[in-house]
Order: sequence, then structure tokens, then C-alpha cells
Amino acid sequence: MKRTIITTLLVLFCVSSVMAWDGRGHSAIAYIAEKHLTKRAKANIEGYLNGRSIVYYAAWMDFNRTDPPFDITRDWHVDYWTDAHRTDANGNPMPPCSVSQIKRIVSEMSDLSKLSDSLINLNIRFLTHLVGDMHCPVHIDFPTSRPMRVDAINRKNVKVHAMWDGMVIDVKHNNTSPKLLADNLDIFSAEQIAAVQQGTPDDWHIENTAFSKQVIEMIPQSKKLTYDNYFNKAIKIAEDRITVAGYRLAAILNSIFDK
Amino acid sequence: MRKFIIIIAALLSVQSAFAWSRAIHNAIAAIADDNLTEQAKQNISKALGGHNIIYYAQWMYDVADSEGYAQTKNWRSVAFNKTKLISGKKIAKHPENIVNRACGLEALIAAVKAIESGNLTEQELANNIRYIVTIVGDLHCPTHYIFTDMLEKRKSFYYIPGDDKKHSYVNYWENSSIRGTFSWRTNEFVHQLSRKTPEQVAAITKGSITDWIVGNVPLYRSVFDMVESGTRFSKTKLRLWQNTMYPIATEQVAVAGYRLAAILNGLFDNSVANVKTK
Repeated sequence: MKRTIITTLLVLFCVSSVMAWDGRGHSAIAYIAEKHLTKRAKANIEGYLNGRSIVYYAAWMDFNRTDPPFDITRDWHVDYWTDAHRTDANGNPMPPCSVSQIKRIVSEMSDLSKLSDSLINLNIRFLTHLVGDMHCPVHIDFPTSRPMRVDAINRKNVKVHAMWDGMVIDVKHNNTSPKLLADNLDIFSAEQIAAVQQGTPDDWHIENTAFSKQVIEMIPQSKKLTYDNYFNKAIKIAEDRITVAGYRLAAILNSIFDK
Repeated sequence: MRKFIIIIAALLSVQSAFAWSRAIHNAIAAIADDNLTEQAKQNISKALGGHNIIYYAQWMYDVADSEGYAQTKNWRSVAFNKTKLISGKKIAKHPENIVNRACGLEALIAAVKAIESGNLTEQELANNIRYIVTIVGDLHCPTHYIFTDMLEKRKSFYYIPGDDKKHSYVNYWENSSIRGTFSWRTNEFVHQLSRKTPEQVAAITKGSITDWIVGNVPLYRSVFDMVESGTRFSKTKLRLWQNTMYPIATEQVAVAGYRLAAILNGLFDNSVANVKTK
């Protein structure tokens, strides 16, 4: 009995620790997007996904980034905080990142007749995940954030990146199913949705960079995070980023598949 | 955090006594409920005192220790000699207790025939519906298939990163094959898996109940070969391994749900043909 409990916990934790936004966050983003797809776009997308929903593949990229052929996507999950950081010290381009991949895929998908169904299927999985990732504050590689560790409520010496990938949402929504989380967050008015869907992935990246800085600058010098000094504010930011990501994912997918 | 772990541990300690976890049994019943005809749904609800089948998804486990229900502990699995179904009579002669107890198909067929007979008390009708709901779920869990030539493989174990203890492969299938990938609750299972086309449903529900169970054998035998006992997984390899598991597990949940709906629609909607038992 005890072994079963430990096995389950360890297996679950092993999985969740490598997932940006964790499965719940990515699924919630996809659910929000799905609710805002046009009927035609939804039908077309699910046709390419062999009847599956985009939610089924929301975290698929996290499950498939270590071995060929998808190990080439390993660096696609994060972005750089300014254009200057898209080249290394010698001026060489840095590896592909989330925003550049989103732009490449959207461009590639502008004429679906030129693509195979399997590539379109794959690109839908990529877009569904990457639009989520680009809205996760720690997925903009702010120079000081990656190595930083903090004491977060009762957890000691937690990486800030790992904390944001899962814990920030889970401290409030651990018992909320992804669909219910999406329903709770999908409360923007039509005008607000239209406003956040304006712009380009580059514009959204600039916006997200500000959040990336903010969540690091919010950390107190003591690096001891409580609900009062960090999490209450962080949760609001995370909820906002998940919601906005959902609306923007819908906008991208509608633009491709409602034709 | 300690309180959180205690609560999770308490929840899992309850679930680990079951076949598929309670969440999966609920999911199968919910997918079935989503595919019941209106007439079947109404008749079943009447028979169940106003409840739906999801409410009783794992009832057979809940009452197993109650007086008069001990025999239901033998109704959770089926046994095969390689690919040949072993009948209840032959099972009784097998030296392995786990094989002797694998009477799930007989119990399922008996419950279906009892309802078909129309000669049941209200209590008996409700019980037989509840047996069917639980057993159909169990008989779509690969580790509930007892292959007499593969009994050693039921003892397969593996190691996970950061832990030097042996972890049961059978327990993995029943608890984590889906939960290790998706944080779905019942409503998400329905939304994600109850979406087959009519043609796909027809293919899934083609044939008899016995055909379904025997038809599961090749895939379920292969499941026992999906881990080499003693494997030490790195975090990366564990993830890749799980990637091979969850599509099979989610598909079996969907298939079980559609087949359960087919049985119940046949029994409780006069306009739908009964599923044959053999």
C-alpha cells in the first residue's frame, strides 16, 4: 500500500517537474482557446487531429523533447528577453525560440494546401503548446531568473523556474480540474478579448517580458516567499497570463483554420 | 505541505485498493452515460433510485467486504491460457489462486442475462446494473487479464529516479498510466474521449461481449512486455516510457465506455438491439 502511494506520488512529481505551466495550466490554456474557436476552425482542427481536441495535445511537446526526432524542439520552449540576446557573444544566432517558432509555423500554415496532413497535425500541437509557453513569465530567459532559488511557502530551496511552471498555479488550483480552471478564468468581455488578441507574437513577447521582470523583481531580498509577500500577486499574474494565452491561441488558430 | 501529503496519501491509499483508479472507473461510466439513449438513461435512473451509472461506477468494490458480496472479488479479471479463454470450470482446477478468481466474464454475462430475463426484484435489477458498470471497466484494464503463461510478468518492477525501491508494473498501470500524463477529472475524460465517430463506435462495439474480451488479448499481452523487469528509469526515459502507455490507456477507457453504453442501451432501450453475450 505504502509503496503504491510513494510510486504514484514520485511518478506524478517526476512528470510534473519537467512541464512548463504543468499539464493543468497548458490544458486550461487549450480549453480557453477551444471555447473561442469558430465552429469551422474547431472542425478543421479536429479533422487534422483525427478527432482529438487541442487539449489532448496541450502538453505533448513537454512529453516529447528529449529524443529524436523531437529533440530538435528542446530549445523551442523558452525565449530571450531582448533582441540583443538572440545572438551570442560572437554574434551568432541563438537556437530557435518560442516566438520565432510560432512565427515560422504561422507563416508555414498560411497555405495549408502545401502541407501534408501529418505536418499540419504536428504544427497544431506545436502552436497549442508554444503560445502557452511564451506566456509563462519564466519562459522568457531573464538572465537572473534561471539559477535563482527561493523558499516558497513550505518548500525549501525551490528553483524559481520550477516554482512558476507548476507551484504558482497549484497552490490555489491544485484541486481544480483543467476545464473548471478554464471556465473560472474565461471571464474577459468581448472587448477585452479583442484587445488582447491585437498585435503580433513579437508584440506579445514584449508584453510578456515585462511580466518576466516583474515576477523576479517581486521576490523579496530574504527569498522567503509567502502568500502575502509574493504568491497572492503571483497567482493573479499566472491566471492572467494563462487566460490571455488562451485567447491569443484561439486568434492564431482561427486565422489559420477558419478559411 | 505535510498536511497536503497526508491528504494525498490517504486518497491514494483508498484508490490503490482498486483496479483502475476510482477516477478511471468514473470516467468509463461517464463516457457510457454520455452515449446512452434518452430512454436507456431514464430506465436506468429509475432502476437506480434516481442516480446515474457514474454514481455507482465502482460500487462493486465498495460493497466487496459487505455480507453477501464476497464473491464479487472474483469478478474483476479474466484468465487466458496464452490466447485461449479459460472457462470458469477449468479455472477452478488451476493451482494459482489469482487464476481461480478470474471469473469476470462469467459474472458479466450472468448479469446481462439476468437483466434480459426480466425476472428480477428491484434490488436485483439495481445490483446487476452496478455489476455490469464496474466489470466492463475492469475488463478493459490490461492488468486484469491473467495470462497463465505470463504470471511471472505480473511481478515486473522498475525503479524511478530518486528512489531505490521496486515499483510494481501492475500498480503503475492501474494508478498512473493516465494520471502520470493528464490531470483530468471526470468531465475532462468525457470531453476528451467521448468523441468517436459513428463508424468508430460501430467498429468498437461490433461482435459479442465475449468477442470484445477475447479481442483485447493481443494488445493486453503486449502490455506485459512493455517494461523489462528491473529497469532503472532516468527522468527522461521514464517520460518516454510513459509516452507509450497513455495513448493505450486512454483508448481503453474510451472503448470501455462505448461498450458499456452498447450493453446498457440494448438492455434498457427497446429500440436498440441487445449485445450478444457469446
